[in-house]
Amino acid sequence: MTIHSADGAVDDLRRLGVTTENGDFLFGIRAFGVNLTILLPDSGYLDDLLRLLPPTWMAAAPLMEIDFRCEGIVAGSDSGDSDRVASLLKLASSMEYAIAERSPDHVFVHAGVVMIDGRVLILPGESHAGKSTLVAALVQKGATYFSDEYAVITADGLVLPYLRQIALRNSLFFPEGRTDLTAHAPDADQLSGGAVPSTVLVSTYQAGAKWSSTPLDRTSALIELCKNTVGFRNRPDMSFAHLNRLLEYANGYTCVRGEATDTIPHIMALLEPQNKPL
Amino acid sequence: MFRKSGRAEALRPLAHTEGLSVTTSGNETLVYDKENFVIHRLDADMAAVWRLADGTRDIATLAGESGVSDVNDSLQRLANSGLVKAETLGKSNFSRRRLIGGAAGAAAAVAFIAPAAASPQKGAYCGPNYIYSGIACKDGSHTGVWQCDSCVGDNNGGPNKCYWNCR
Repeated sequence: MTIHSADGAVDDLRRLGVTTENGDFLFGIRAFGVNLTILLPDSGYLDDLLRLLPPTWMAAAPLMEIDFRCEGIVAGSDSGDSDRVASLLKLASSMEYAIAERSPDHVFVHAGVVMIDGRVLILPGESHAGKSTLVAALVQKGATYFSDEYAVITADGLVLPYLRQIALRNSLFFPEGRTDLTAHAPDADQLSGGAVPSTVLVSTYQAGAKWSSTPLDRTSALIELCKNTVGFRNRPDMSFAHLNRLLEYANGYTCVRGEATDTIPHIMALLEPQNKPL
Repeated sequence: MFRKSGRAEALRPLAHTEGLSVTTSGNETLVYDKENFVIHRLDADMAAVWRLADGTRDIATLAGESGVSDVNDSLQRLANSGLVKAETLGKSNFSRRRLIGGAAGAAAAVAFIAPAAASPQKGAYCGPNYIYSGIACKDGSHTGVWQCDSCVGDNNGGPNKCYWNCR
């Protein structure tokens, strides 16, 4: 599997895309084994959307059934840039979620993922649970960036990077606070098969709280991962199987934490070799 | 408990087995109920009894074959979790109130699995007071409808997911 899309993918995407009689642009992508067909008001929107397409995307022929339409943008209307940006972000987010939910071979867990000294840390949590902040802080301290949205789990229980070109919330559309985490990404070739997970840390943020952590028993860790698994309801068997394999490698912890910067040393300590699973 | 009624010996507990997804984790078993969207956590005793409770064995046989010392306790917890059909335990012996207050009051630990993100569905976008009307839910003994208590995601284009609660 490729981590980054090939350079020629953009040309393929335009070549395989179709401009309809109405001027709409229909195109297809494939990522993590999922094909999606998307309708844009015109091909001009594609340049911005390219930066928001899911990691590993490749061009695919559009199908008859349209998965997503970029709604809220009407060509020639008075819609401002903010509407355009909002629509594109919503579209990108929906595409990502659909891929996570439908991927035939992988289980997607809402989680931040980093690697520190060769040890892979998974931070399960919903969006706005603070995992992106934690991931960014860890990367600034030298961690390798895997993902700030999904931990992609293989059937062998390994973790694949999910490298967005840009983080959705800290995107080029919103330059303030943007961190280019992909500059700290793992070597794509080395990790194309996935990395062995080391630690699952379920954290709860409390303003002003002092760090405290406790080991999480295996079953509790499994439940926490299930709760954060995209599409668990639709395919519990597959989710159970992948996550069980993951926990053959990884230890679980739960913690209460304060601000991200205060938390980093404690997380580093959790990943020390003496905590390595047997 | 069951033995005191005299007719309990003839009871043949029957486990719910349909619509479930099962996995083991160490010496525990997780059972996902696809209808009610909850994960039940069974200890080794509960799992052994649940697997054998096929409606052909009476309680004494269940105890003997499972090797579980307190089958009644396991059965009560299973029934409280909805994993054993209560009617097969006999009305006089199964009381939810008694289960909650009794020695075997603790039901199997459960985790609720929230519905999938609503973003792909028209009209299902997240909102602070959005109620996913028309979809009933059950949380233990409570029935209601799914309510999106708070949004998870970017209001301007994020996943539009909700923290769903059964209200």
